[in-house]
This record gives sequence, C-alpha cells and structure tokens, in this order.
Amino acid sequence: MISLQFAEKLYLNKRNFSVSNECIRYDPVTQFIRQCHNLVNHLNTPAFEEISRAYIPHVLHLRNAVVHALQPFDSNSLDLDRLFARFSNDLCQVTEFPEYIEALYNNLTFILQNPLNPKLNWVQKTLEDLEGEKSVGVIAPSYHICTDSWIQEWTSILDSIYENNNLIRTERDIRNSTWDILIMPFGGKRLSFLNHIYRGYHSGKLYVLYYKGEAKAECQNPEPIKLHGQKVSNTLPDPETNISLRDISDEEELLERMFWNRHRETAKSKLIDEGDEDYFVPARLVLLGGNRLVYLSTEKSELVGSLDDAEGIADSFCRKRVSQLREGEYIVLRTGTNYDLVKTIADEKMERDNVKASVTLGWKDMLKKALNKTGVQKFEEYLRQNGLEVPCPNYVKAWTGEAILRPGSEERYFILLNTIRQCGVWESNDTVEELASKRWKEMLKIINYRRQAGFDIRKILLDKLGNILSEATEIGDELVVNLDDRFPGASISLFRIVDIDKKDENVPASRIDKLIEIETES
Amino acid sequence: MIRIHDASQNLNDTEEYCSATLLPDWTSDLVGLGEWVFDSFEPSKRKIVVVWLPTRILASAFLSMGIMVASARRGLMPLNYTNFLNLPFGTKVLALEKDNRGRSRAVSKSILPGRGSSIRCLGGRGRTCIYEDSFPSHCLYPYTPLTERQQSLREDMKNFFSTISGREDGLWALVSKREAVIVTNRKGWNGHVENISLIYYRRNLQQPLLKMTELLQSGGDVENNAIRILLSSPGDQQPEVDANVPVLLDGPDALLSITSFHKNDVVILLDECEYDSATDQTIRELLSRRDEWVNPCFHSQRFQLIGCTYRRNRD
Repeated sequence: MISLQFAEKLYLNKRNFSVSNECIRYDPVTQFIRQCHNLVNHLNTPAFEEISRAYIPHVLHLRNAVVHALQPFDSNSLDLDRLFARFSNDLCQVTEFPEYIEALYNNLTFILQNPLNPKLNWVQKTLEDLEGEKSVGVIAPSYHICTDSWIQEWTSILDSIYENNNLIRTERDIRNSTWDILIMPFGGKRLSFLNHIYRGYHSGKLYVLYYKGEAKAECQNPEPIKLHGQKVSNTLPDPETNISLRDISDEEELLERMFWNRHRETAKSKLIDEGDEDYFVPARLVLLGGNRLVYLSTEKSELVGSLDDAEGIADSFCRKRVSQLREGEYIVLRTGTNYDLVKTIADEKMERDNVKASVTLGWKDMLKKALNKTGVQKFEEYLRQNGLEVPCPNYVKAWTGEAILRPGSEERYFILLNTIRQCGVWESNDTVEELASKRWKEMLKIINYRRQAGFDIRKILLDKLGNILSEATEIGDELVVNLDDRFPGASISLFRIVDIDKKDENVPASRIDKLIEIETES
Repeated sequence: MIRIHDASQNLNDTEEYCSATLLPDWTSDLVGLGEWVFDSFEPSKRKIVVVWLPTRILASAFLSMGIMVASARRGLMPLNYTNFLNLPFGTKVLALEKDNRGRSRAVSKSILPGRGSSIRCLGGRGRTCIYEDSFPSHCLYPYTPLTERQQSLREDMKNFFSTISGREDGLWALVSKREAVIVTNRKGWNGHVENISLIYYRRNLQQPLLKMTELLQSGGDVENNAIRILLSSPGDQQPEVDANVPVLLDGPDALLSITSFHKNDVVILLDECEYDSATDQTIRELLSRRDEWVNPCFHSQRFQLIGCTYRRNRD
C-alpha cells in the first residue's frame, strides 16, 4: 500500500507542479562568473592550445565552487584561495594573462572579505517561513564539483536552520522519495538526474536558485513526444567524430568534453586499430572502476545490473542500451581467452540440431568476391545508387564477417544481394528475390540460436553471482566469474561503471568491448 | 465501485471492510486504458501504444486489471469445429449443459475418438457423439483442470470480475487463459503489488477482500496455465504468446524486448523522467513505420498517450 500512496503523491504533485526560478542579483559573483568566462575564452584559442588543457579545468573548478557554494565563501571546505592558486601563479607568467588574473584576484578578495553567501540567506529565510511543517529536499551539486567536506558542511548548516530536510546527492536519493518542496541552489545544468527533478514529480514545488550570469538548466516544460496528429520525425543525430573545444560556449560542457577528450586520446593511443580492414560504428566511452576504459557500441544493448542482494539478482540484471547505463551499475563483459562465447555455444547447438550455418551464410562469400572484384569504394557507390546508404564504405566489410549477421531489414538485404548480382559474382540457382527471402528467414534462426546462447550464459552467470552474493562477498570495482568447465578459458567479468560519456563517437569496430588500462589520476 | 485496502494491516473482517477506501482516480484511468487495449484488438492490425506517466509504479498492474475486466465482459468464445477437431484425444473441454430445472451449468468432458476423422465423442457422465451438423448445438469451451486451491482462488476472482463486468455466467473465469504479459522487474513489481487488496462494494453486497496478485492471478511461471497475467523480466527469454495477448512493456529496459513480441499489441509504459535520447529514438522509429495513428476513444488528463497501428504479421 505504501507504493500506492507514493504513486498517489506523484500524481498529485504532477497536477500541482510549479517551478520558481529565483535569480540572485549579487554583482561580485556575477562579475566573477564573467571574468572566469573571459579568461577561459582567451585560453581556449589556438595560441594557447598547449596550456589550455591544464588550466581551463582549474579556472572552471574555482568558478563552480563560488557559484555552487551554499556555505559562507570563506569556509575551509571551499578553500577558494587554494583553488585560485592552482592556476593564477602560472598564468601570471604568460604575457596575456596578468590583467585577467588581477581582476579575478580583486573580485575574489572582495568575496572572501564579505563571506555572507546570498544563496544561504535566501534558503535560511525561506525555510524559516515554513515553520517546520513541510518536508524539504535540497539538491547537492554533482560529485565532480563538491567534496565530502562540502557535504558535511551543507548538512550541518541545513540541520541548524530546518530539521525536516534531506540532502539529495544521487538519483538513488531522489528516486523513491517525495518532499513538499525541493530546492536546487544552483542552475543545475549538466546535473545527471535533472530529469528526476523536473519530470519526476518528487515535489509539488521546485525552487531553482541561480546567480545572474550563472548557467541554468532549461527543462521546465517536458513534452518528450508530440501527441498524435503531429509529425514525428525519424532523424538520427550524427555521432560526433571530432569535437573542437573552441566550438563549445558552455563552460560546463567544455569541462566535461575536456575530460572525455583526454580519455578518448588515451584510448586511441592504447588500442591498435585494424587499419584499412576496419569500419566505423557509433560507440560511447565508459569509465570503469579500477581505472579502465571501454568503448561500448550504441547499436547494441549490454547486460548490466545492480548488485544489491542475492535474492533479486535475476531481476536486477537485464539488457540495457548503452545510453541508459548509470554510474554505480555493473556491466558484464566477456573476458578470458574464449572471447566469442555466444557464437561458440550457438554453433555447438546448431551442429547438434543439424542447422547448416555455412549454407545460410554462403552469400557472405559472394559478397567477399564482389568486394575483391570491384573494390570497397565502388561497391558502396553501387549500393548507394540502388538505394542503400551505409555509414562509410568500409562498413560493407562488416557484413562479410559474422559479428553483424545481416543488414537491418529485409529490404536492405535484398538491395545488397541485388548489388552482388550486378557485380557478376552470383553463384546461386535462385533469383535474388528467392534467395533473399529464403536466407533472411534462415538467418533469423541463427539469431535465435545466438539469443538462446546469450540466455544460457546469463543463467550460468546469475547462478554463480547468486552464490557469491549469498556468501556476502564484497564486490568492488571488478568481479571475475569463471563459467562452467564445458567452456574452458571462458570467463565473464563484472565492472562497476564510474562514468559514461554522454556523446556518441564513431570509432573503428575493432575498439569495441576492449578493456583499456589507464593511469591513476592524481 | 472498487475499494482498495492495505493488506499489510492485521485487522479483523469488519475493520478491513471499513478501512478500505475508494480507488484513486488515476488507477481508474489505467483500468479504463486496459479495457480499451483489450476491446480495440483487431486481428489484422497490430497496435503500439506509448504511455508517459508521472510514475510507472502499479501502472501495469491496474492496466492489466482493466484488460481482465474487458475480457470478463466479453465472456468466453466457444470452440469452433475445426479447432475442436484439432484437439488431441483426452483433452478436457467444458460443455454447457442444462440441468433438470433448465439452468445452464458447465460440465467437464474429455474428447474421445469417434467413428471417422470428423466425428468425436465426449466422455464424462454419459457419452455424446459430435458430428459437424450437430456441433453448433453444443457449447464447448477450452478448459484446463485446476487444483482445489486454484479453483477456490478462481471462484473469488470470478465473483469480483463478474460483478464489475456485469456478466454473471462466470464461464470466463473457469477457463485458463493468458490475458496479458508484463515485462518488468518482477521483484519490484511484486513488492509494489503484494500489499494491495481490492474489494467490490455495492449496497447489500459484501464480497471478500482479495489480494491484487490473486485477483490478477499473476506469476512468472510460463508453464503454469493458471497464470493469467504472466510476468517476465527484461533479461529473460521472452515467452511465446498468441497474437491476441497484449504485452505491457514496463519501462525502458523492457522496451528492448519489443522484438520478441512482433505479433502482439504492445503498450509501452514510461515514467516522464525516464525520457532519454535512446528511448526517444526507439519510439520515434516505431511510430515512424506506422500505417496509421490510433485514435483511442479514451482520454486521461493524468498521462500522455500516443499510438499507432501496423498490419499484423509485418516484421
């Protein structure tokens, strides 16, 4: 019944939901934001490419500390002097920057000498007016902005002002609770659980506190899908291949992009691509516990789960799209020497059932011959003329292997076969229509065998995990699970997700699912 | 009217009855949506409906309850002659017979071989031979015998749904039928539903409180014919179900299972805060391949709904 009351509250909150945007007009901070912005803009030019990577994050960290602070500005937990010193001394040595640094210094000195925080003032006044009757949730900034000492200070400040409050740090904190009032004492741009704040209806009233000049999230009017009768577009956003930092005006985004670009470069330097043989697929870079990176294809779904308890483990492990992965979840990756386990198991079963995959996939040999005869570029041109677009010419090679069994639809498959026939390498007694129809259905069978193999592996994994968890073994960043003896060399590992790049990238297919060790960050 | 009660409270019968409160409006909307999903089934068209809700908690449970209400209202379709002939010998069927006072009653019979390929006999009390010409005069229904415990639960369920649907014969409840499949996190789903009891209240009519899980006869065992609302986890191999069984995909994780149900009507339930580009993209792709939009004669202020139809059996 608790769930019914909780749901009832969410429906009620939706009906009454309102957002109050409270702009704090405090010139020293507004000016400080602008000065940081100017400095970053100047650093983010071709002339300073070498140093920008080192100093822009420091400037933005200082700015974020000032903007997001709820505690007095001279608080030890903020340590604004130290944050300023991380870039100011060095940049003063570069001819263009002393003026910027001096202006920042003057403003920062004023802020530190007048440490009363106007956001804290606003919170104090608002909460005092409530007289303890209403429950209040206060949202804390993301982990990369605030430290544990911040949180301790926020907690003690808020508790001293108003008892009936909770500090919300993660999606998990907000997901299963409701409050009368939520306060987000910052703009909230790039907060990972912003959807829950604006569209989760965990409160009937949301206050957003932001300084004039502070970046603010725009999420007030949720209308995810147009209602019927209106056109629903079907366009795919292009994955980015190379982001120029200079094109990014939003500093939060700049900070994030710098972080991911650094990791992208590390990944690139540590993986050997297959050169001309490779084709590109859209993927996301995922940071795993234990300082590892991995590219996951956004065209596929991954087996992920949360490791809460042994009893519910079967329900908590399921397939998810890469874009829906969340930090703290565990992702299952194949490790060990027997890498292509699904195929191995599926092939065994097919052999037992006398299903001839080699006959079904015989068209792939014809494709190889066609590519040898015409070359990849020319073949892709023929395909395009026949109405089939592929992400890049080399992508055609993906269909010669078994990782991608067949094109996405029967129409695309028909065009592919028709193009092979046009190349003069047709080796079948069937017409294109006949072969397309026959093989398409047969390939579905192979897909079903592989799907079944995936389920078998999942079952073994979950049984083993259930045993591990029931023995209360602590699971940290990684857990290796060896499969049964009948799959020698096969193991799968669970890795804790630390962070996920929010943008897709077109990467060579050979990089997908490969673990990359990175240096520990200081 | 349906009243709702907290089954976790340890009260006596009278107190339970008094503590039951009216169902909130939003649950009624979901029951109504379920009724529409069932009633709008068309053999030639497959529906895909996306519902954005303030929360998915309990949504699929009340929606499937609506499906059961509509199913009870429609009653049971008797077997046709071809289907009857295709049933293996020994299969139990339910025959509607009149007793001495002329009242209809359902009697379980077994199919026995008859003379020739188009004649079957029904064993049981008395033996009746059935020919093609005489078939229409027999009202026969598919039937799976139940255990005593299952029968007693089904009796309560029958009374509940018969009263709501206004269809008193209750035959619908005697026959095993898969009403819907819910793809969801089973543990979470059961956690939300397990403490909810419902009672149908009308003046001079006091029915027992029924746990919602028993009312829906929900469970995850594919082999168990008594289960009407089949629960499946997104990571499981999805069950094969007839095309006329609607599938409720509860959340973005469940949405990935849509390829396993390419013949069925599908309702996708999403929290508004679960909006993200991948889910959005999947839904846009689904809707863009539509033949036509669905125009439900059902509207709610409490959630957004969008849907379309395809020709059934199209990949």
